[in-house]
Amino acid sequence: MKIYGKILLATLPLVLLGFLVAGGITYYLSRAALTDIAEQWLETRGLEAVSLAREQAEYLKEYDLDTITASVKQAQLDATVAMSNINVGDEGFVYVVDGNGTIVDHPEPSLVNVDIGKERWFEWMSGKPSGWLSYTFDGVGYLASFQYFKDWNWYVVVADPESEVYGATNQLGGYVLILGIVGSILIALVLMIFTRRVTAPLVALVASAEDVGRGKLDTKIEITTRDEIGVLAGAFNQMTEQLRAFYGRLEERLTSVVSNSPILLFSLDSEGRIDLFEGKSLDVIKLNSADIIGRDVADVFAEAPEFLDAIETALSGRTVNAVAGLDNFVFEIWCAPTEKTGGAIGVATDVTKRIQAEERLRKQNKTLKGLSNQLSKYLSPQVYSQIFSGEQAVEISSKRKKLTVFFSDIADFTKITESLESEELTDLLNRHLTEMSDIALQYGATIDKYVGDAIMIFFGDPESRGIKEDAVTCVKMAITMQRRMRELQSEWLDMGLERPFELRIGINTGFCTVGNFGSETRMDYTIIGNEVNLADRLQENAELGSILLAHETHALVKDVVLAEEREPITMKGFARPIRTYSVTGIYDDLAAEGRIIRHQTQSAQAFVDLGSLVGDDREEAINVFEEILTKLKS
Amino acid sequence: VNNLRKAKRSDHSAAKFRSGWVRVAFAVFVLVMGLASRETIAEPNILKFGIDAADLGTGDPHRVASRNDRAIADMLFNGLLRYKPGEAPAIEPDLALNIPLAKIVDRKQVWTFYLRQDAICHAGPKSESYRMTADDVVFSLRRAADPKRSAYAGDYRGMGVEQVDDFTVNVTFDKPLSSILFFPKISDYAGGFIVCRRAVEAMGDAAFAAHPVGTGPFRFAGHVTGKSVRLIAHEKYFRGQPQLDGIDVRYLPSFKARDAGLRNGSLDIIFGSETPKWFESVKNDKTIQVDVFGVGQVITMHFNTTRKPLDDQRVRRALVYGVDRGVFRSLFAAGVVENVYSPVPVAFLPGGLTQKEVTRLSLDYGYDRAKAKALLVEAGYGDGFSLKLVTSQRGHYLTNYESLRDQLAALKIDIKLEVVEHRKMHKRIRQDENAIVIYVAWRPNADVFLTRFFHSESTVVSGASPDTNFSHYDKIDRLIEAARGAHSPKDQVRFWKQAQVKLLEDAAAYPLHYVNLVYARRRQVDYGHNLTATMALYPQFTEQTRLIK
Repeated sequence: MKIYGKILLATLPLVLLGFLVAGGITYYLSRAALTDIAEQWLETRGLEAVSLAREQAEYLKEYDLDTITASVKQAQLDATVAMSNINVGDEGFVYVVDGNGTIVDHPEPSLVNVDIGKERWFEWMSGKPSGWLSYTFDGVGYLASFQYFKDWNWYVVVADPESEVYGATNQLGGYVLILGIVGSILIALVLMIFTRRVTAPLVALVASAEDVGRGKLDTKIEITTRDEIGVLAGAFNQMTEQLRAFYGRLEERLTSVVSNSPILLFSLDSEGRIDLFEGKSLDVIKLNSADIIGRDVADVFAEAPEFLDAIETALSGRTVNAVAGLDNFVFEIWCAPTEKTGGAIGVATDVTKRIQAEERLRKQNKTLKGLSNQLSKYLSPQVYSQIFSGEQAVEISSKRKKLTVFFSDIADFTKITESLESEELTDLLNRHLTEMSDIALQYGATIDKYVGDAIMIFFGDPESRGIKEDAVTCVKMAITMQRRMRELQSEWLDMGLERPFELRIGINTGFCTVGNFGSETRMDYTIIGNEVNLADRLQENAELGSILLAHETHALVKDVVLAEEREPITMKGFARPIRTYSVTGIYDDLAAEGRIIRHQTQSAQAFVDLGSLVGDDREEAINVFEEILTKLKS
Repeated sequence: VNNLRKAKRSDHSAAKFRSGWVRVAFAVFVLVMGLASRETIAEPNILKFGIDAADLGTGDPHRVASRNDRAIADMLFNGLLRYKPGEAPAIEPDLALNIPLAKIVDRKQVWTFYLRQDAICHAGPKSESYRMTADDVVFSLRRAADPKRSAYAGDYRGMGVEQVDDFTVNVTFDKPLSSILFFPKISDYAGGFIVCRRAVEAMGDAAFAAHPVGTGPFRFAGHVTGKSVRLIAHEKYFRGQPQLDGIDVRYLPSFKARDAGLRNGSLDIIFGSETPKWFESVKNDKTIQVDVFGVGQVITMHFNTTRKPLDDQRVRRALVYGVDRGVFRSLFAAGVVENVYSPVPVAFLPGGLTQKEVTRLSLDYGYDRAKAKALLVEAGYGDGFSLKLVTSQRGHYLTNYESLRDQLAALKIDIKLEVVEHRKMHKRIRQDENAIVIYVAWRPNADVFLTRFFHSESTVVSGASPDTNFSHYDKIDRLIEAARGAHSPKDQVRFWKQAQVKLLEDAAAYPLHYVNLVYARRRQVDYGHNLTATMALYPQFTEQTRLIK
């Protein structure tokens, strides 16, 4: 639909509606006003009519005629004649109905003496002193005012056909309708002329836009007006100009991109003939665009089956991503069907260099991985994984942390091994360290370093299970190591060792400084501090094959581990003597072995070390338990 | 003129013939011709009018009462206004230049009359002809109001007349009067005639009555007692010299004599007969034209409501139900009489009741003998009663009385009639002799009709100013007075109607019909105006009336 058609369609109903609404309101208000006026007017006439009757009635009384039927009748006749002279518009009239509903007087002689007593409006009227009513008689609607005149039992009715009362308003309806239609037609004509004038430049604009759509970017509209249309035309011209410039730049860039990028741009018709083949990579594969346009792609690329497969797929309607070799070069191909032509378009990107680089990188990674595996053996797995995952930077830094530190050393190692050959010693030591390290790793320990036969281990960094748990784990690890050492003693005797190795272990818990220490070129991840030294001292003071705990550690593990207090030791750097404890075993293990009885609930605790309970102590204990039993049973 | 021409032509001829015998022969011829010519001239342009009276009653317009005297006055005098000739009751200016509108000045109603200045009084026996002025008008109207000199003085009570200047007169009333009642007073009827003061004063009232002097189209020329009155054209009449040379009014009470005179050509116009027989007899006479016109005198039966047994309303009603208007009507030729249903004839005057109105009010009293009988029985007169009534010998009276007698006989009412001379009947009924009076009269308006016939003051013998209230009726005095005092003609009519409704309800009188006037003329008589109704009660002869040769 043309624009002025739309404008007409949009405005005409509104205009028509406006006329109709205005007309309707005017009609309604006029009718209401006319009703008011008519009521008052008819009432005035009614009062006038009744006054005529009253005048006659009074006059009859004055002259003593009111009892003479004929005189009364004559007076009534005079009254009705006088009433008939009351002007009630062109069509209105006065008539009289008696109380029984018989018409006494009416301008239409045939209605005189007609009984209207059963008319609903008369029934409504009777009994009322005055009022107004709207009624229909003989198919004609009337607006009427009535007055009851008691002396003669008369209803004096002044009636006017509604057609007269509302005549002007009724005509108004027609006028408004005609006015509405004529007005609408006029407005339609004006709108059509105006819209044509307004839309003429728009039509030109549309034609120009269509030209631009067809690619004629040099289209220009002649601007003749200064209104919005003129502004629009100006903007259109500006737009086409910018479009032209942009298109030029785009073309330039595209040419530049296509000719400099290591790509091939191509399109094919539905028969597989080449429409387009451009791009810098033509040089690489030693082809000339002009030579292959219009040729069947299968002929041109008979040597590149992957490429042909990709094109086949696209021609069959599916988009495809593939890698194909073209003349010793590797291309990544994206090829898609074109819905309109039934052919395909595609881009082939030369990725030969990238593929080569990736291959090199893969090889380097492989080497690096091997190196890394070897390197990991020099590092605690936690440290290794922390460093290789990048969680911990390899840089000189340290922090204070509460750690449980473990020192072990084989007693008299030099004396015991001095008779052994170097290779034997190396095997022996490596076997010992490997066994111990395996256990340490098994318990998640951080192996700080091996110093000869001594091993320094700590718990709490870089991973921690909590200070108490770290301590308990460390003690359990030490017990396991001692047990393993006893198992290994027979092996070592078999290998010609004169004395089996006895391991001394010292464990302390306290705040240490942990981190990378050293220079930029050589760093050690280790811990330092008095607490570390204390652990070493505890190892030195431990009995052969035993584990000596510092008080701090014992406090953390005492509900799991059974230990006996030993002589305290003094040490430089510590103000008070340090209380020490020798580990007997894990409660659960000792109980399982029957060496102790241990019971612990919220309201009852019992501990009996069967091995050490001897003599009077044992007797006394028996008495106590008997008493307990008696009391419990009673 | 033709004769003169002929004479001149004869003179020229005489010059041509000079021989002796020719001269003698011519002289004889001229003599013969001359005699013949004189014979033609001696036949003057005089209208010969035969009327049904024995003699002139009076020529004084303020005293005329009879129809025939009125006709004389009509030709001799003018009023300030006049009923348009032949077209009453339409009114037009006569001596006045226009019909005035009332004004209220100093609480008085004033009617100002501007007089025409070309009205000339006839020369009288003792007075010269002179121009009529306001002085004559004032004199006349005051004379009309003077009971000693006017029969209509009562009509002019309360009316003041003043001369403003020579040609302007103010008529004033303390109590305003409607135009319906006022205009008849100053029109060419009864007291409204303007007399010439100098003539009246020079002659005295009695002599004036014998030789009336006015301003009308004809002047009084002579009276032969019991035979005729001669009127001759008033050359200086303000509407122009009359076409007739004069009018010879011949008193012929005998209808036969009048009829014969009309048929043999010795009379040009006569007062006719109302009998169907006569109508039939002249129907085929091409030389005679019968004119039936108004205004119709109303024939009304008046019942004396004070005299037994008519003092009983039931008896009066029995009488009216017992008579049939149709029977009375059949006594007259078709078209001569028309029924009336109220004393005031609605056909001619405002204030009457139509047949429709009285029928609606059940006061039409249609003939119903059974009802009449029943009423009589109820009143105790089932066996009837006897009455003795005096009647005139004149047709209107005698025939109606006779018909009344005959119709009431069926109700066993025995009426004995005594036929007397017309004048004597008038005298005797005014002496209250008749219990039932049939009266034929015309009155100029409803007020006069009702006042004179039904106001208690007009009661015969006993009234304050005894007149023609034969019924002794006194129930509508206030209504009559109220009507008289009403300003608006509408209100007046209403009062008059109600008065008559009451009157009919009481059956104090029974209007029978009005009698149109019947005149017959030879066809060469041209009245010079239309003729539908006249207040003068004759066809009216004016300056336009002529005899077609």
